[in-house]
Amino acid sequence: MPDLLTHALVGYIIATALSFRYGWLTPPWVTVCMMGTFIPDLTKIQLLVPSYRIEQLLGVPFDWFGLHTVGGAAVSVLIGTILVPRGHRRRVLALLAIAAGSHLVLDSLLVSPTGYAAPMGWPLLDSGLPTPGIYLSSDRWPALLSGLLAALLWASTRRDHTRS
Amino acid sequence: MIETRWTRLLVLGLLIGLLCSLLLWAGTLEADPTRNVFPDEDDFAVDYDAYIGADVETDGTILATNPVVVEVTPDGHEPLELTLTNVDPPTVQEDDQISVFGTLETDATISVTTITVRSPWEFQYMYLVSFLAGLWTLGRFRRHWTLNTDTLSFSPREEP
Repeated sequence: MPDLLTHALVGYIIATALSFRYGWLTPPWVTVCMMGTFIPDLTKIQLLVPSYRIEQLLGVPFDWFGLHTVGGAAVSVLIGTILVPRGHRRRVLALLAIAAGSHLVLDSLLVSPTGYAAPMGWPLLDSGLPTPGIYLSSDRWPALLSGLLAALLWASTRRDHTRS
Repeated sequence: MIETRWTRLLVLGLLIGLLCSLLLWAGTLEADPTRNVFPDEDDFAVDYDAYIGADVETDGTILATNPVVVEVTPDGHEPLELTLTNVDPPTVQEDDQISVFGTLETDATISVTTITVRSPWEFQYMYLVSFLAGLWTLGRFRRHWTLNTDTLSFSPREEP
């Protein structure tokens, strides 16, 4: 992952940009998009409970990495979607899917010593794709750049708000 | 459909079951260079000799720089000390966190093809801003959304 701040800011940017076209996309829905960007990093549970601990406990293979894939993210998005009333579900489904997708796309650009990203397309795509290696997860500039863009968008929503 | 507490809990249970089966399935995936997934310390810690000559990836902490020695911690095993060859000593310092890709050789050695090097503070920065992003988003969620405990569903708060 780039840091979660970058992911959340990108979620903010995407949702705010879409809000210029879709009037229903008010701040509560921007928040949904920001939360959706965290979905694949649910895999960081492994920092607290490593996968091998669960394997020892259950006696079967287990890997939290599954959460950081297209398949795991899709099921997580569905879980988020059923937590709202029916009338909100299409919006939540769309926003969470876009957001979780943006996370996997950003992560597929990370520097990797092997030259390949983790196989995040699983189970649709088994292989790790070549990564251009644009940033490390701890680089500062992705958060700076997305923070700047987010601030510009925020300012333009304020301006629209004052006008109307 | 799925509007009451019990139907929601039922579907939630089914989806969590589906997610768990995906994670069990993910656990069966093995390293496989033809899929661009390379063996790592969890593999070669168990049977080192089987991986001699193979391309491997691993990460760890630099213990010494002349020669370059890295400590890696395989899941459920004692930490291993590996010597890295083909690394310019000025590129790494003690306590740096590195990720390497290279060829596993005899005597706990990796001949490095590529390496990324990060100082410990860069990880602290990453965890700190990630934590702040979590707080920011959680704060927004609490301000904008409310939980209906009868139906176990979240709805946007009414505009003030």
